Amino acid sequence: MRILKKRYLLRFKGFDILAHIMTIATVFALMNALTAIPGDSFSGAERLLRSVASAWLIAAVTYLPLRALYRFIQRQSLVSAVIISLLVAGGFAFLVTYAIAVYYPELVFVPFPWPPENPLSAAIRMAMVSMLGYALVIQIAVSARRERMARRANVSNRIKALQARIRPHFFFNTLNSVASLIRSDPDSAEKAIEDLAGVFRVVIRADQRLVSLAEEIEIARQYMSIEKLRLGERLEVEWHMAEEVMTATLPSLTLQPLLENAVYHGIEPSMRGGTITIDCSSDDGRLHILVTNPVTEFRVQRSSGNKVALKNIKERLQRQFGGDVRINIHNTSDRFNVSIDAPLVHARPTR
Amino acid sequence: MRILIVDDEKLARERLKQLVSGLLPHPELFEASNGREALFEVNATHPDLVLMDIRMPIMDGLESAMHLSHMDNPPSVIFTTAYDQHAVEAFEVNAVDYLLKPIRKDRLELALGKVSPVSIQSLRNIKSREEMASARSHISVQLRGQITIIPVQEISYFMADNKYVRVCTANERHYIEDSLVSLEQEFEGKFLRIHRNAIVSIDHIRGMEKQASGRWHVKLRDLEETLEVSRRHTAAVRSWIRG
Repeated sequence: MRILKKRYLLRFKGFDILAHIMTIATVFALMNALTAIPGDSFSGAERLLRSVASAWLIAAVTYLPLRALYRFIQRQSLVSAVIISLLVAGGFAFLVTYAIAVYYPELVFVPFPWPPENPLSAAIRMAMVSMLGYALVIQIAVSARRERMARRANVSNRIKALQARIRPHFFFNTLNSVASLIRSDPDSAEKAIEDLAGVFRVVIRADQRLVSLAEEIEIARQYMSIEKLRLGERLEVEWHMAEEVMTATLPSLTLQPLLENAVYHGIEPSMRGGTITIDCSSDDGRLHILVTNPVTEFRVQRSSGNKVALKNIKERLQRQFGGDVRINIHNTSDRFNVSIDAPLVHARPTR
Repeated sequence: MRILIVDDEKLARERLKQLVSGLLPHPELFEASNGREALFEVNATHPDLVLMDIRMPIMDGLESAMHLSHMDNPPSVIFTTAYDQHAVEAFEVNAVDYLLKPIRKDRLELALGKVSPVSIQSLRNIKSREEMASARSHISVQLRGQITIIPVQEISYFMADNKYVRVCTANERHYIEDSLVSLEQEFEGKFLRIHRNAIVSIDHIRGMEKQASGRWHVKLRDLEETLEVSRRHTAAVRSWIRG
């Protein structure tokens, strides 16, 4: 819920700023074009030009305090964010107009008799125009925010759907192996059930949880020990773990899908089997994970779950670390290599 | 009853052996660990029934059953699978027996009671379903009751020869009854049409040379002979070789 609330931000950035300025300017310009003021000596074109200039000035100066208060406004609920923004925008427009009317009456032209007979009423009118403009901007920002949230919800649903995609084959084959072992080797059967429970506890949780690499490796080991049970001598696994990366954090279920792919594409289609290697290391503040599997001699057609799983892992890593994540695939003549390169972030020591 | 159990996972074979032994008084059990081994075992042991896993290395269960169904007196086949949604739907539609893993004793008992050979047609139907459609990994040849299995990647070319199609590898020649057109379709992307009467393996092409007669020929890996490229196909073959 806390995460949701954080999204109640109104952004005054990029196009929003432009929209803000343009909106106010347009309101001014239209008002000027439509209002003929007695005693006003400007030609139509000049009136329009000056009105746009003053609109841009007001827009710029009211933007500044909002930008300064940006972080504060973000922390408010949606309703108070809107009210504060409007008050600040109106207040600033009021002050600026009042100041100009009193001290530099010849500076700009605004769509009322100018220089104004009464600076106060001119300032109030300016404030109202500014607030009107802001209301429009806020409306744009709010609908953009809604869209963003809908898109995020979509993405997170998709992440859940993808994450839960451990191959059903694996589950039923494992149960079949266990059924076979119960009589012949009850100890192995018992261990297999424990491992299966461990893997599925994490898989069905299926959330964007951060875990330490040590936890990831634990799940991966349980998973591989089940696969080893099924595939026997066909599957060999080599682990190379640097001690300093064990506390590195990454999204839950980053490693297991890589291993599942390695088994599915590299071991299962081959009678001889082979070795899967897993390397975890770091340098220069980067975490490196490398998973390799043999390329099989018979290219049995296998449905391409591979790309989907990698894309899913990348998506989840990027949500965690931003764009600073690389996933590389490269084939040598006899091995398939997948490497992940992500920022090395250590878990904060729990107190 | 003579039963051949085919599965690449040892524990899965063990499980079936346990179950079958519990159900039948004196079963004679044989084992194979992939589809190709199954064909050799069937040749050697002539089982009544094959319990066939679907996903296996080298040759999958469906393809193995296809090759089996071409034999004289083929054995009955019951497929076993952990989770192949599409295959299972296809089995249902074509009334082909299958068992889901983990295999249940009562289901196996039922299946053993009503075994019947699988028809070629239902296997074709199953194979041709979109998700399952894939080219064969091997070509099987029946000769005097013996079965010969040729991995497709060893085949240099197929050539129409009277009523048959000749299958050529580096050191073997066989004759099969398939049509060249259907082979061309099945192995699209792997074999290239060079002549009205021949398709050649793309992996086996070494190059092209012009003969004194003015005709182009392709040279093939591990083969002395060259194959004539017809005028109609010359441009296509050349552009393919240039990449």
